Amino acid sequence: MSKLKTLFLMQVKEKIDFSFLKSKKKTTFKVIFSILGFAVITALAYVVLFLCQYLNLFSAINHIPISVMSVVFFIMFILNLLTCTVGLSKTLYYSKDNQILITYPVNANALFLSKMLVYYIYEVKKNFSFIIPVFFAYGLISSLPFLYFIWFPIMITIFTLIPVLFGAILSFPVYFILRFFNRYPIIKVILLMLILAGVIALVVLAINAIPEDINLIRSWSVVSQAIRNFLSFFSDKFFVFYAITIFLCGRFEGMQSVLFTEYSYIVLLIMLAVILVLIGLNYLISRPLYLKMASKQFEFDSGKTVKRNNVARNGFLSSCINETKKALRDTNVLSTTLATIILAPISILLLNTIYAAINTRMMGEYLAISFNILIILLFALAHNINVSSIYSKDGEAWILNKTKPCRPMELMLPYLCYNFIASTLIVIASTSVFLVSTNLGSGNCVLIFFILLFLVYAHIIWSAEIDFLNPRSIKSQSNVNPNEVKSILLTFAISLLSFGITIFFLLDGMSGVWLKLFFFALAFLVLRCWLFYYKARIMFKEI
Amino acid sequence: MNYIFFGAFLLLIPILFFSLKKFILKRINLTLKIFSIFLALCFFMRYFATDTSLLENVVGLTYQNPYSTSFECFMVTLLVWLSIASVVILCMLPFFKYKILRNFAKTFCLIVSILNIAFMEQIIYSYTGTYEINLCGAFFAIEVAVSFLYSIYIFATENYFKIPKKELIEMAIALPIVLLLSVPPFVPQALFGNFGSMGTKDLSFYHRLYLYLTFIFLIGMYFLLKRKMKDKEYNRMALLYISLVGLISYCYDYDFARFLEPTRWPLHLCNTAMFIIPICLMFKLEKLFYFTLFINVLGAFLAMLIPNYADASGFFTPSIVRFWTNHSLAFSMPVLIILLGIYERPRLKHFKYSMIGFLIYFLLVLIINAWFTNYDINVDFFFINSDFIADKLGLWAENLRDNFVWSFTISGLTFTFYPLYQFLFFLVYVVLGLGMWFIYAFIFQIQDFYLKLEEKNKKYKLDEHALCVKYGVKGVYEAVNKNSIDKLCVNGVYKQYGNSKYYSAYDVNLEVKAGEIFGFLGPNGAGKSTIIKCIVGIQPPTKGSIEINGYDIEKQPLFAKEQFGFVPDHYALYENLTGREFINYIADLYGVDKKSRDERINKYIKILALEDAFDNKIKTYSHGMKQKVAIISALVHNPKVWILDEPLTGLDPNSIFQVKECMKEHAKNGNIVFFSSHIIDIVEKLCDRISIIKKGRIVASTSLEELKAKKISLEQYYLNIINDDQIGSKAMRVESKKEKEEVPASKFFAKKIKKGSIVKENYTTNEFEVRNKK
Repeated sequence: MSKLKTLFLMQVKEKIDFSFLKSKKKTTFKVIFSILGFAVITALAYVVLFLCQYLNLFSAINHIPISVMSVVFFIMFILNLLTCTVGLSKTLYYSKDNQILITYPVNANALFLSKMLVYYIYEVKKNFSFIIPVFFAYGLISSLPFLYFIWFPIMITIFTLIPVLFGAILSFPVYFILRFFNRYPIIKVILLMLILAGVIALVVLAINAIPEDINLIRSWSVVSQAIRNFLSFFSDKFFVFYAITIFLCGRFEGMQSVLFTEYSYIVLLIMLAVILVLIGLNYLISRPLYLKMASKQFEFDSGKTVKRNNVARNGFLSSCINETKKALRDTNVLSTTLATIILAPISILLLNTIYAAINTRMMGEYLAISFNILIILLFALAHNINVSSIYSKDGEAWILNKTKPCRPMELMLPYLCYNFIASTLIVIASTSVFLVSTNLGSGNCVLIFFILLFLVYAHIIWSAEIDFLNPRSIKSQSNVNPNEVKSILLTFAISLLSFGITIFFLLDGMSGVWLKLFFFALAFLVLRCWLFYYKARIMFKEI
Repeated sequence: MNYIFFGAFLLLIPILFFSLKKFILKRINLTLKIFSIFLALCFFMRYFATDTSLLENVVGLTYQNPYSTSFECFMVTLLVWLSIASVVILCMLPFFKYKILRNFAKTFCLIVSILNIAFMEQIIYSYTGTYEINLCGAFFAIEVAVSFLYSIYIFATENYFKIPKKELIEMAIALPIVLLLSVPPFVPQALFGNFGSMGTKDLSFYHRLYLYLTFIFLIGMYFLLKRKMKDKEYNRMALLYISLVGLISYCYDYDFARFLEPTRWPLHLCNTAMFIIPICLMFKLEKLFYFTLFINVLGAFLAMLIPNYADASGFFTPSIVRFWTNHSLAFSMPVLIILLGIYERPRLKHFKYSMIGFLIYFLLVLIINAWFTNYDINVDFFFINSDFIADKLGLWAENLRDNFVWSFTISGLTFTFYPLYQFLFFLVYVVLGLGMWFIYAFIFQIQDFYLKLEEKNKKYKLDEHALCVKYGVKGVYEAVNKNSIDKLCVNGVYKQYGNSKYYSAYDVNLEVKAGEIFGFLGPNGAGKSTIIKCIVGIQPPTKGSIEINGYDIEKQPLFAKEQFGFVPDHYALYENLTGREFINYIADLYGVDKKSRDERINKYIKILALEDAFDNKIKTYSHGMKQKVAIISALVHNPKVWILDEPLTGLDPNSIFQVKECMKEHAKNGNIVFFSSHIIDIVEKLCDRISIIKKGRIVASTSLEELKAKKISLEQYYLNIINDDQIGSKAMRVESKKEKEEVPASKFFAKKIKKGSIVKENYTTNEFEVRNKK
């Protein structure tokens, strides 16, 4: 038991950052910020539910039906199950610490159990930061009894065992599928392409299905009826989730909410039985497989070698080519780029099709244009968040660049080459769709393209600057890279500010709006470039 | 009549001066201060006696009573404006030692005084509407006389018109700013008309324009005055000038009669800033300043966002100009004062002062509002008496205000309070004030970063400049030290990481000549890698210099780096590239031509048995193969100096042999091989000379031949030195009061330690404490 405890503590410290416990001040801050975070999510969920209730979105009377929460619960369960399956297949079979853990003088069962426990704790922690606040908001808006606020967290803590245990069983076939794909990457690519093509086709079909004239006010009764029909369909067909939600939240009898009924005990018993069965299945299937696979090596297959010749190039060009090659050979980077290039224009198309169908006033037109800018920027900037660790991710290789006879800029700019190219493609794709859907004139089109491009480039340069000024080890204990958090904040700040400024300028009248924005964006880019150059020149020596 | 008064005063002052000559000459500075205060009093007496509406008519603002010709009208407008700047400069003159004030006094102020004399009748007529003598006219005549005599005195005592070029440039930069800041509120409209009558509210274009101007002013003034940041008194002078002209602008439509109207008292939060800021700057009242920093800045910002003037007000309407001058200054000045370092950055106690100040202010306006409402229903200081703010917030706020009312009567006077609303108002403001604390902390962080960066940039430029001056522009491309060509020289290098109190390398001196294989030995953590990192330019040395083939790694990094190839102690390669791609990339960086690279790459991949895997991705390589790629990448440009940090780790015996052969061959070709290793046998067989480093210091340097002659094996020699407590470690314990004198450590250790050593050792980190330069 003590060995299990040691193993558990050792791994849980790796998975969850407990460094704040070392100082009282940090602990206090952490507790305060956690409570604040919980309160903020609860408040946001409350606002959303309040608006739904206020607009009578789900019910004719001022009320949020339990079936709505069962849909929410279902979605969260599916997402949880997916993350658990993928997460556990990595934790159980691909984790590098397996190589060390199996050498320890501990019972193999304890090893497996410790891994599962750590993952379970991690999942419970995740639930406390999302599912519980959302359901608390529901409890507040529906004036559920005080006991609900104790009952729900306890039950959800127990219920979390189901996706974790189920995920552990599913991780077994997933592991084999992943191995298969690793062995035959071409099949993986083809399959991905097929899925992608299918998704695109579906989305385009869905967009085409949008009626040419949407009048929400006129058709509200139809829409509202459709929503209610869907909820009732869900309650019928997905009765299990509906029943679990009632078990967790209670049921309304008249205007009174009743938390416990005889029905609750039956559900509780079934839930416990399911958990027991899943534990048994895990013991029989996942545990032996884990013990077998944990000791396996996952080395790369060198594949077929093609002899090449040496090529002499200009140093800067060579750096640019190599950095682009590195990015293209990284499936994560490439898939993110491809997904953004496809998703951004589709979203723009969807947005504009809906807007075109809605009869809007001038203010609506302005909002539609500004939203287009916002969405393109959000996609394009989010794509470049990885730049905030672009130098750090190379670790010592990046530091060793300092021994090369090159100026700082000659070494730093090539790293951004791929992101510049990919971002340009994303902006071209999204802007083309945006401009085809609106009648802004060719001059304005060119200006909008450059405005977006300048803002995206400025963000890339700013993110890179964050990284070289505060290099963070990729292997750092915490899962959250503070540089990436900064870059995400910049993404939102730049996008929202651009959105706000566009609306402001549009409100003053259409003439000269894009020219003004063009100069703003250009000035911003020039400022960021200058700061990047200035800081790099001075700080490069000290990195 | 006014001229007679002026003339009388013009005579009176010199008479007074000559009759009290002895007394005055002994206390000239005090006299000038009294003179300045007298001038200020005259100015304000005249200013508060001026009929503003009449002035606006005369300068053609309202087009109702054009008394004068357009030329006179223009001159009056101009002189009213310039007089403000002139009077403020003269009033500040004896309190600051700066030349710029004297230069302004003897040129600008003198010219303005002469023009004032010439147009005195017209100006007084525009102030009073009459040519007859009255209070305003009399004070103006005295003001002009005093200004004139004061300027003449400075002119006579300060070399007349002689102004050095540097001071002239300074004046030329300052003049437009001085003039722009002292513009009276009516002048823009008099000059440009009522532009922007669409309204300057609700974030309209004109409203935003004022907001932009406020931020441009703040940023512009910061950058302008930043260069004088170390001279706090200069910046205090500049900001005092701005705050005084701001105060004058704020008092534009005040007159003696209006002081009797309670609603006109300057008790609104932003109005208080107009007199608090100059008072703080004049009398250095620290505690009061932090009130303005936390409370006024916030109030001014909110007021600028939701201005309380009429909807149709134009951009240049005097009341709007006055509003924006007031609020822009209330917002910017405290921020400028703190950023320019005139007052220290706020600490918790300063925040407490500001909150106590705010509580007192809040209670004061609460009582005054309730009391004065009995006489004037419009009394609404800080907007806590009316529903102005509640109305903006919505119905809930209005209900909150109106549903909790507390009213009572004393001696026939009714006092009405809105306890809940006013308490919440106070509370929200305190919370926002606390928010300001964090905003300031963030701004200070950014400021510190950029100041540090600027400091480094200055040093960087100075180094570049010094190099150009020393060696000429062409010399920068040549070896700085001709004596160290074909050598690797480490001259007195110290390395201190970050803010550590200890040196990781201490006075390291090395010299390796062409054709030598030099071994660098030492236990783990002794500082081998630190020295190597300094040599290859990964870490800059804290002190000392490193020359590679005559090029200084700090001053000529590009040329110095071309001279060496480096193999680190851990391979750090781009795993997604193939071996060939990586080597070609490195060759490209060094500009190796195709023929040479083909030749060298083929040679080394053959020697190191890497031919088969060379076109595979590096991530598929074993540890040894990666190390081989690192070795080839260091040799692809045939460097003059080959530096290797623990190069043989992970290599198979055959590869170790081949690498050793490469090292021998490289040295044989007249190059330098510098390598660190723990494997003593290899070092003994391979090297010509060695140095041993212990706790950051070179404790021994010898040639292998010398050891052979003494019949001591390198291993024995190394262990003797490392295990000898008197060398390196034991010596550190010796301490005396004279320790802080510097003695080169290399000499020190070579002779073993004498008593009275100077270096302190930290026994936990095994590093040396940085010695006090004293």
